[in-house]
Amino acid sequence: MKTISGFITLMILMQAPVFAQETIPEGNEILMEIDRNLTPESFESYRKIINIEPDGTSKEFVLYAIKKGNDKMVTTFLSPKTEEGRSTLRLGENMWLFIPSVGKPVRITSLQSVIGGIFNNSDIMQLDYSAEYNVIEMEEEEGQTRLVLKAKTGAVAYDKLIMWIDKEHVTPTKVECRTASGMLIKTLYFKEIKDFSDGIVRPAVTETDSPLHQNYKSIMLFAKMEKRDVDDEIFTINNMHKIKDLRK
Amino acid sequence: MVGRKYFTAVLSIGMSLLFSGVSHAREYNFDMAEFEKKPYEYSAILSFNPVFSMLNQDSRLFRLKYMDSEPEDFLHEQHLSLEARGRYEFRAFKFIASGKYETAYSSDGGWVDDLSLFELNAQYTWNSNVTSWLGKKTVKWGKGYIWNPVSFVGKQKDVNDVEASLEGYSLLMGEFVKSFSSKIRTISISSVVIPVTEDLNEDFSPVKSFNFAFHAYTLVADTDLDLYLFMDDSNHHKFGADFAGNLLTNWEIHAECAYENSHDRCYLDNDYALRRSTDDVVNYLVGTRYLTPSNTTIIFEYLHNDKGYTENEMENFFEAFDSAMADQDASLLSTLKSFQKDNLTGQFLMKDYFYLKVSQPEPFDILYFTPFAYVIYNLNDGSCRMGLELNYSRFENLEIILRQNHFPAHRKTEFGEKATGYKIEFYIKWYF
Repeated sequence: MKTISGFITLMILMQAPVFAQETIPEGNEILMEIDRNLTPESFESYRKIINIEPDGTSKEFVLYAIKKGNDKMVTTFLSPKTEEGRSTLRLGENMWLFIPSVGKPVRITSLQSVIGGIFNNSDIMQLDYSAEYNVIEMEEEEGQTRLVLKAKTGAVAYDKLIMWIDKEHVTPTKVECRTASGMLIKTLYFKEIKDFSDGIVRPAVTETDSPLHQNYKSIMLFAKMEKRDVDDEIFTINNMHKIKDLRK
Repeated sequence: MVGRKYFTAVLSIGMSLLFSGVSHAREYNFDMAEFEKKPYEYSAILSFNPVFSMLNQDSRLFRLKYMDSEPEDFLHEQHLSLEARGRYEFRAFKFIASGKYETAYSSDGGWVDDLSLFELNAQYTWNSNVTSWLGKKTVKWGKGYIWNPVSFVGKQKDVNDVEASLEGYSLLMGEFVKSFSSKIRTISISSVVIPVTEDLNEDFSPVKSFNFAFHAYTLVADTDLDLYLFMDDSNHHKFGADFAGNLLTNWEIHAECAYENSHDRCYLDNDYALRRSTDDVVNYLVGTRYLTPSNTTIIFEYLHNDKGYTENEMENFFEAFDSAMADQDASLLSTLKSFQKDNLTGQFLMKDYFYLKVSQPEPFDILYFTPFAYVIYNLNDGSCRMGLELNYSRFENLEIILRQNHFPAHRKTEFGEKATGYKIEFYIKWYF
């Protein structure tokens, strides 16, 4: 019994805030600016995710997403038909999946992928970087700013991010996602700066690859992004069946 | 014969459409017009499902089932179904309908057709806090993966396919939801009224009744908490509670408990006489879901079904069968057949079970391929059922499933005495 309680205590301690890493306030300010440039605090967007296999074949998924504040987000699949209506809610570190035929939300983790491929739930439902990470290193590198981000808690998908920043638009060009031991899990490439109106100028394409899945690639295209404020009650498990109806 | 005609026609259309849905590499464009909101939407699944079963001729349930007919050792079935769902939105109203038509042929029963209406209701959204429904609606309560003791106003899920749509009941339901920026992040309260008459919800209760249920939910300190209450106009009531939360990002725990007063049950006593009793019961389930670093998901649950039979009561049934067969007691055999049909065809017939499911998405980098294995172990009699499912969804709008179930033969046990010893099913589903 002592062994079990000791194990549970250890697991809970692993969730505790990460100490002993000195944060760089100036870097954290840049991170907040990046967050606001990537997405308004509250917005809706349409995205297409394309998984590409080594032989070139691909499968596409279309999502509708709404985010509010720095810790609330919902997405729902509009296509393909096999996934239509599958919705995911993120409230801080809590995440639920709603499958229409099942009819009730179940808890899932940010580490899983509801669609397969290299993007996991945390990539698709990315909250503000500044909500989850502190900047612990900042330096100039080949005309870009390079930030090293450390997770604030052990509850996020990646312990460490290394981010290269386009100084002109103050948005990332590349983000490496690493484990606590430094192992590279995946790399995100931000491409094709686009004016989405409403003052939103950001990369319209995010590509990713992973040394864990050689020659596989996933791409996320943003077709529409608009500022939109919705009621907090949208971000509850009770209303996950209504997310598709929120489209204008 | 009507079924055969439908079967052939729908199969021909289905197969030709199905293979046109296969996806290949293409240019990447994003045409937003395709995804504009429309006042109406529909979707459907055309499914073809052959099933092959090896029958367990030594089992008592096999001998009881086939006592009046020529026994076979192999059974095959072909199922063809069309499941459809549609909605129409008009201002704050939303009208929802879903159902399934199935035609099936089995080697021991011939052709059968079935039409099920899962839902037919009107939803009215008063504002972001309040929503109401009137009509036939599926309500699912509880946190358990395989079983839900608190499912007071819904049907239990099918352990063969926990994601399958379930038929709802005709009801009136209202829901209030409120969010907060505090430790308590969400509160919701919902109430349900289900009337039972000769023509309405007749499978909800054996007698005419007026049933009321209440559900309160809160998300507090990153934990889901629910309370449930059920009562009818004959002083029959149930209480329930559940919770779910994450100990770690990749480690979830959940539990569910329900109390019910005056639960009626029917059993065979030691003299093989049918007895009825009315008892208070407490059903519960505890479970966990763990995601390993290699992306394997493990679900483990223990459930206690207080309504279930004891080992002695199950043995009485099997021994009564042996005695009736030895004496060629037609009256007792008829009683047992009727008892089996009414009481021994459900899931979790006895009291205590373990459930374990292990799934591994995308093994060997095979995208959209998810195999899983499961076992349900009866702690009371030591019998088990186990299965393996392979799910492949590589092709656009197409899902292919291979599922097998095995019931190892152990005499005088729940799973060991099943009429089927081994079953393999193939599904091909086309979504449109």
